[in-house]
Amino acid sequence: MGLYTDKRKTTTTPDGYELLTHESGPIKYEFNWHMGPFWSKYLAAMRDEGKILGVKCPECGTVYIPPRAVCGQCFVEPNEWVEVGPEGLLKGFTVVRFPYIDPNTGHLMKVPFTAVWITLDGADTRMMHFCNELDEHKMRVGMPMKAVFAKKPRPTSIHAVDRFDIIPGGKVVEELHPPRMEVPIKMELPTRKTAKRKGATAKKATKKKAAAKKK
Amino acid sequence: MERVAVIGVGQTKYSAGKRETFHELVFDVATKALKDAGISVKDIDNVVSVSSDFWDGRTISSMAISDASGAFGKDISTVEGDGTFGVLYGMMRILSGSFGTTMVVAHHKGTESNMNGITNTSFDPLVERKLGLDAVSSAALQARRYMTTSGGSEEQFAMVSVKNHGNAMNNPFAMLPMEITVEDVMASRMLATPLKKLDCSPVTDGAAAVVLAAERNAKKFTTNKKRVWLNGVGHCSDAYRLGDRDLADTRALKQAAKMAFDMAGVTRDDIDVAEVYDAFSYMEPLWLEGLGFCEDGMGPEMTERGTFNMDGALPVNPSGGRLSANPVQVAGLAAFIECVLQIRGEAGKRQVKKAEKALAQGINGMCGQSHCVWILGK
Amino acid sequence: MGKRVGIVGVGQTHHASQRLDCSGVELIAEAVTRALDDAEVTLDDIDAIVIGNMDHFENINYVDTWATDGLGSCMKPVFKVTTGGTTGTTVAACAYYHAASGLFDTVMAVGWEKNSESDTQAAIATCANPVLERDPFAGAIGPLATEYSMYMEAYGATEEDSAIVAARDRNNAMNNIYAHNRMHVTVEDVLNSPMLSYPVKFLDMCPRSDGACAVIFASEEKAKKLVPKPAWVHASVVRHDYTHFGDLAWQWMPTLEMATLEAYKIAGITNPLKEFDVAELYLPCSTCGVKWMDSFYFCERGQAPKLIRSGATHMDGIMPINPSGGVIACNPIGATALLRVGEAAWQIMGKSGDRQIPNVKRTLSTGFGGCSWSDVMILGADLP
Repeated sequence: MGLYTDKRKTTTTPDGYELLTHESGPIKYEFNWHMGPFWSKYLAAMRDEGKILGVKCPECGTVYIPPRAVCGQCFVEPNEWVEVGPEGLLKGFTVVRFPYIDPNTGHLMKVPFTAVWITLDGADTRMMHFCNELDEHKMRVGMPMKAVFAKKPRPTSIHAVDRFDIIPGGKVVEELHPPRMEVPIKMELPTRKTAKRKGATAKKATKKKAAAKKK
Repeated sequence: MERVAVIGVGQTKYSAGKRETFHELVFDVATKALKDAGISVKDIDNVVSVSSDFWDGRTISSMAISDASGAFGKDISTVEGDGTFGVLYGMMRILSGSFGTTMVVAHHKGTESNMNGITNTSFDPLVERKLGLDAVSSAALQARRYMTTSGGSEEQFAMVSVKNHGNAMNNPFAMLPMEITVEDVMASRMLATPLKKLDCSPVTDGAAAVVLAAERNAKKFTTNKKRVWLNGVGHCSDAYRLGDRDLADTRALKQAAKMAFDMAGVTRDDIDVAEVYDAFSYMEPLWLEGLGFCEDGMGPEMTERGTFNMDGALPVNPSGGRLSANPVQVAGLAAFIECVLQIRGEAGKRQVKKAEKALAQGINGMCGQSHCVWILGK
Repeated sequence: MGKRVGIVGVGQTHHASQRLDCSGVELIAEAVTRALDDAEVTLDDIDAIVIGNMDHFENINYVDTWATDGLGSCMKPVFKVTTGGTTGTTVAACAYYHAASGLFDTVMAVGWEKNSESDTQAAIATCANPVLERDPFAGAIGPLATEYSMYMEAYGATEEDSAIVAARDRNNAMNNIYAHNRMHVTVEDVLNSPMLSYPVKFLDMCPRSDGACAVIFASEEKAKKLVPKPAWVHASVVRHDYTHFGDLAWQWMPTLEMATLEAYKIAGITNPLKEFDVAELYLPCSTCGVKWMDSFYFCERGQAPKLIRSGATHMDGIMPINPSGGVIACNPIGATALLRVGEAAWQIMGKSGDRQIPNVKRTLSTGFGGCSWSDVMILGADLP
């Protein structure tokens, strides 16, 4: 076999032995991740008080969900806790239809399900969660949504919030798109004519020659 | 070639069962290193993080600590391996001329997972993994081989453990400072012959960070006292399968050491203190042979003679070594940081007198397959 | 100042859904031997190696020490760099810095993945915070699909716009013998394919592949001796901001905008659409091929659909994107971004065979991964 032989369709070794695949079967790795002071409080507040808490950076004023120990932009610890939501705006969504293995359980995810990204009132970053609406045509970015907490006793996880529901009759809020900052870059949309590379069609003949040379 | 210096260091106290998250540990040491260097995060222009997806239990482990390492708006990359390799990459980025000040930060939380299972995954899934090999059992094979070739005894290896745990009594960052005897080591639980519990490093949590600066920046940001120059570095990997090489033959380390010493233009006699990767007690004399501090096979005997004690000709592992704290990806960086502190004269009760040149070693892979050797100096 | 560096050789495997004929190490060896052949060097000429992949896809720890036989790295300096989907470009950048530092002359970057050995989406799902984000994360497709829903709402882009990109890249792959998926598709075929995660359909999305790529970098003096036309590195920039998926303003891509601006500044580019002859971009989904055009500064915000429909990015356009077929046609994750660099280098070196664009002077290659991370590498036929 040469160095550039395409071996993708081979099923045996060069001398005729069957090519084998070794299956490991399910492998379990267990971890005990510590949540730290910020996430522990975040989850406890959702579970016990039915509240969603964010933290505010003292320098840039960004309110972060989930809370965390450092504001990346300012490199300081956000020290002010702020209650946000429970209402907010839908910023993005997708209805997932393809099944894949859930790394938490090792079993296939139940599909379809809808993942939503919500900017809660008072927060600047988006919270990832679920919504029961499975028809993508009924969802619109900008529509108001509300967090619905699970019945007590709530779990110590993001599932303390059971889901987000669309607020019926709510008004879609258009996102404000601030203009991009000035940059020293020229951007000109080409027309149908200027979009074509000069002499592009003429090159087809020489393409065949190049093909013959390629290993 | 422009020189590169270490101008700031920071490390956590190494311990088991830390309750902080990855990003909290990294934020802590990054902040400490910046403060030590006397600069702010704005003075850093790129970051090299060091972490392991396996130990963290998440793919793209560097994502968890991106913001916390000061990388927002900056160039960042991630080395998966020991911290000494991260420092090498950080230095190369400065020497390339693209950057002037690099933050290198490593984190590891061994106690959140199962060390045996995770080190088992370093072995070939088809042939070796099914043997149940892990870090301890493979090291035991290497220890046995080393005893055969050098004539070293378990008692001589135990002396390394006694020395290093004892040294750790003077290191506030170490996890296991202990006054023990050779008898204590010999009586500790046998894990995989000939390795007993006190021959093995502990599973540890921790993080560490260093700030590297190009010469022009080092002179701008700090005083002479804080600057430690990176004189030489070398790295080299040996064959993979345990059976493909002689486990007592340190040829890859010899090559890495040669690169480092040639670059630094110094000899073994010039080194005043060394921090080597003693993940297991027998590794210290084995690596000291590979580094050229003694002849092949003489490691155990010179250990017994006290050559590498704090009052010996070459103090080795004044920090207590990896035997006293082994947060895997961080471990080599901790060794590196100890060398920096020694050269600066900031090592407190474990200070080696007139430490002007130091050597730090880190390893990747099982049984010290791949090595990185650093020589630092005033 | 450091040294100038050029790419002198590229090798890649024949990529497939499953390379049942070889183990991971053999797959790496296939790419490495081809790269050495391409550069006409031997292993003795390689001074250092850097390798990358995403661990969980093959479940192998310490890949840099495991791959010794395939890399030829016994008794050589080697370490591993891994940054998720951007691995290929960060490995390329690492090899570049090795050579630019002056410590090593000839350095090989290797990216590889055997995605068939595990469940790809499950492994990717572990990149999100395990407690706070893993459940709604929906693998790699989730955020990409969500992001396009925002762009559609904001600027009126449609599913048909992304279908045009999907058809473009998939048809381009017909000229690439190495690509995994090679098929003629029409825009209708794409629109009619099954919905995976609204609005992303099956033919919009990249596959997961088995494959490897090796790219050899050399410092200036060495590069000039080795090959007549090295592909010189003009800029390498990386921005991996953001730690949580909800942190991003997804209507545009801040990391990409920052990375490209910085790279354009270093390389002296002021009109990217005109000045780049070819772009090999990491577009994991055809929707990215619409939305991200703004963030590359190829056009103003919201104008991407018009740009795509003008034909400027097709093979006969002024700036062909992904003549190789791109990521939609072939995605061995650890190698994917490196393939963008390797394919761009071949375009400059004149070695792209059926997919060669004539007179390539400047190319743009990018990597993407993680939490909307962006890497940019600009190559040129002339010394920077």
